[in-house]
Amino acid sequence: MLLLTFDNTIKSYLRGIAEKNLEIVEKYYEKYQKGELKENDAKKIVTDIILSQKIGKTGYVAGVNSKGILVIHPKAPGTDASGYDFMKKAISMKNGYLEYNWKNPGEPKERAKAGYMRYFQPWDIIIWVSSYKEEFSHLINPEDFEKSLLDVKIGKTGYIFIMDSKGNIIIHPFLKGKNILESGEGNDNSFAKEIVEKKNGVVRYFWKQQNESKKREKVLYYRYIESLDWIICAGTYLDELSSNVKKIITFMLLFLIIGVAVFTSMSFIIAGTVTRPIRDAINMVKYIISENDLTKKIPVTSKDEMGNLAENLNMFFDEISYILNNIKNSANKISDLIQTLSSSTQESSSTANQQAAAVKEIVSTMEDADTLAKSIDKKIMEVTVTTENAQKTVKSGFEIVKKSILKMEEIRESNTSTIEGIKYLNEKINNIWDIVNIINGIADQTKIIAFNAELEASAAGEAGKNFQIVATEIRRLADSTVNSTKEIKEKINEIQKSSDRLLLTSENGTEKIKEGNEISAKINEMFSDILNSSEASNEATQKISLSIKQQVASFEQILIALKQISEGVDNAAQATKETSGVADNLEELAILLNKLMEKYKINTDKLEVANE
Amino acid sequence: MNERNNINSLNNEEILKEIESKITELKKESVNDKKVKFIIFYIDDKLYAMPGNVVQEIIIDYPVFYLPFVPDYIRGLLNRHGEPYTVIDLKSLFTGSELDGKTFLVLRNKIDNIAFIISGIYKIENILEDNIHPLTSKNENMDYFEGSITIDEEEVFIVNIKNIIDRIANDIENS
Amino acid sequence: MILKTADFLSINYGNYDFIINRYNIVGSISYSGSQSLPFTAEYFNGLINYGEMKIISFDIDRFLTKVFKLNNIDKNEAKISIIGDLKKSSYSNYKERFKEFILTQNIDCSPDLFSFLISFRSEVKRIEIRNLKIFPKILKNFYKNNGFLGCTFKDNNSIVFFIDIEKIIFDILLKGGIKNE
Repeated sequence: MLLLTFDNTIKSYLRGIAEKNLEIVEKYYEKYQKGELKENDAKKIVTDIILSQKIGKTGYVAGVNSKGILVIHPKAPGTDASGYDFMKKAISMKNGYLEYNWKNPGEPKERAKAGYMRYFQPWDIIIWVSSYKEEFSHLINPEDFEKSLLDVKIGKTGYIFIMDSKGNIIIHPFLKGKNILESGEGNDNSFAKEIVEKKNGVVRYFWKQQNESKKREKVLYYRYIESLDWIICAGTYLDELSSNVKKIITFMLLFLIIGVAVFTSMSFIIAGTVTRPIRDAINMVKYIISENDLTKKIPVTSKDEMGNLAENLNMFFDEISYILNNIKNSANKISDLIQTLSSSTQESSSTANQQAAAVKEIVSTMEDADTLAKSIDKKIMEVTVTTENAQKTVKSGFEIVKKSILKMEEIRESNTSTIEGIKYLNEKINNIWDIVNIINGIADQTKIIAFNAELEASAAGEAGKNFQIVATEIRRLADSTVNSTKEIKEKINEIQKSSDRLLLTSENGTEKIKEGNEISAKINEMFSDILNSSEASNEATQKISLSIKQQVASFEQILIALKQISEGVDNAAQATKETSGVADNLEELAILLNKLMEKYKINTDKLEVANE
Repeated sequence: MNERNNINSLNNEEILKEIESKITELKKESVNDKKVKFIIFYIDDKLYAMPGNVVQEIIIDYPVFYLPFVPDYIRGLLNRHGEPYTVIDLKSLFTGSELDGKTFLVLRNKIDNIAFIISGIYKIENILEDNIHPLTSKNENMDYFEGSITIDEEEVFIVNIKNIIDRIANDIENS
Repeated sequence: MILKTADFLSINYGNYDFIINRYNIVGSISYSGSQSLPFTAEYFNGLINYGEMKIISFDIDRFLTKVFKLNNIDKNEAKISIIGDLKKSSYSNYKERFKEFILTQNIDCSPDLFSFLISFRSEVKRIEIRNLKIFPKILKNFYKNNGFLGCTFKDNNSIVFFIDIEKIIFDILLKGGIKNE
């Protein structure tokens, strides 16, 4: 019964973990389906979670595919374990509980393991939760059992106790923590050696309790549970059980002997008066036995041996009643105990469930928050990158603007000197112009003089003929001068026009350059501003990024802690569920026992007296 | 030896002969033909001619002092050697609008102290009397002219000063 | 050669000068307003007081400015009334006619004196008569009838007109004014 309990607890514990892991895998698979995660990312997360768990001291969670390859394994990932028998079995089972032997690389020998499997078909992973059996004792809490165990009474003072294979007492009404091989209290504990050696069987020995004067024979039934390394002993004093039986047997023998002797000797004498009460007594016993009515009493009609017999028979039946009642009480107690255990486990189960649910909510919220923080972080990273890029662009744009400003300065300077040059040229041209005008004026005047001279000459008649020639010459000279000056004037005009145009263009150019300069200066300013603000924003985003990273880290820590709690709670919930189930079984058993006991009618009044 | 293929080629002797014959011709011309000197001037873009013998001189850039009460074509007085000359604007006389000019034709003072305001002198040319053409049309304005000559293939009217002065005097009297 | 000269009152307007024979000018007073005339005649600006007498006043300043299209320098400048004596004038008929005029018009003023208003930009000059020129033939008589006797040139850029003040004043007064443009 105990073994069953233990085994179930372990199985349910492992199962709980396996179920939980399956849930996790399912959840991340869903995220991938929704497109929130890439498949590889989801698988990676799942792998990380699976490998982060520890079962007992050296147990772990692994992932095996249907080909027997250890796709997820803390020590030997990728190992092909398909050759092992247990693996073949596991591949075919895909779900369920399995016990096997296993040796990790680097370990000296194989160790017994137990595992629970749950198969996730979309990714072809058998989630394998396993632990070493020798470590199971860490899983079970002896204290819970201790109480229930110690309440079980066998006979008057008999009890159950538990020791390990080395004789260390784990559960005992008064010898807990001691070693059975050592404590003697003056008693011979060779029986203990036998127990430790044989581990299974029955042993009778003599034991003297401290408060008693002599040794009494005890009978001990013991059984070993290997997985827990427990030897469970149930023992009681033989006299408590068999004392009355012995008495009864002695009495019966005596009775028989006496009866025969008396009967033969007094058969003839007391035939009538003796045989009737005996017959009655026999009938009563027959009745009691056949009707199972332990309340009926054999009538005590005389104070002789018959009466004594009757009394003793009654007492015997009382004792049996007492024992049966004890058993019934025990059964009831167990039942009660189991009830409380059941209800408390149900309570704790529901509490655990509530807790699990609450924790799950927290976890999911945290996960959401975690995801959010991660996405914010990602966005910040993007912003940081963008601002960094912007900064680079701004810086390079800045450089370009600087260069263009410098270039413009150069152009402006050269332009200014060009304008100066043109102005200087213009002055010179004007000077020439003035000179030319003077020459022209003179030429015109000369012409007029020539005309006048000619007029005078014609007035003078013959005398003026020579003068006429001179006048004509002068006029010709004036004409040619006028012509040349005309040409010069035209040329100068052209030059002036073009230099004016040039001047205008240059000045325009200067204006444009000035404008350009102003614009460049403005752009320069703008760029400076942008640069400053982008630097500032870069700093800011970096700070934000840092703080978010920190938050994300702490989030993740919280998340992991919560997950562990969640698992633990789930496991507890699961375990308590299973324990509850087991408790239900026990209850059934108790009820059966009770029903059995009810067959016998027992006198409870008398029992109470007898119990003192 | 003097024979050549080209008709236009002359030898030196022939050239000399040609030159001498031209000179004789010219001499003949100058002796026989009477030439009249004309001052060709323009008023704005139009050319006019004036007989040379009536023109005393040509002067430029003289201030004209305004005179009241007289027709507009009498622009004012001009100071030439301390003497006042009446300045007459032929353009104003012919067309009614004032001439913007700086050149003055000063007439010989046998007639009167008169100067014509003109745009400028074109040339002074001696024209054969035969080449002085009489006026062909008779309209009002033609009173101002006494004929025409050909100057550079252009017909140029000869200003009739006497008529002009008479006209002016008449106008003044009646104003 | 004896240089014949005469004294003239010279009135200046930029590059135009006007000279008036001083021979019958008897005095000058600063002009301080006039009384209005009972008649209207161009350029006459009233009667001025000369001692105890009233004398007709002619605004020759305004006349010249208008007729010669001169730029009047300052309309507010102080003016002088120049007093002329008809008795000394060479125009005998003006004397007669003026008297008549006063009587007919019933003007209470002196019949012998007249005045004309000039600006301070004036002086008395002695000028050699040979320097004065008569107008070109074509213009000579016309202008004489209008009170312009001749001219001379101070320099290349200016002209001096010799005017007959009596003719101007009394022709306007008695004939209904000199022809205007």
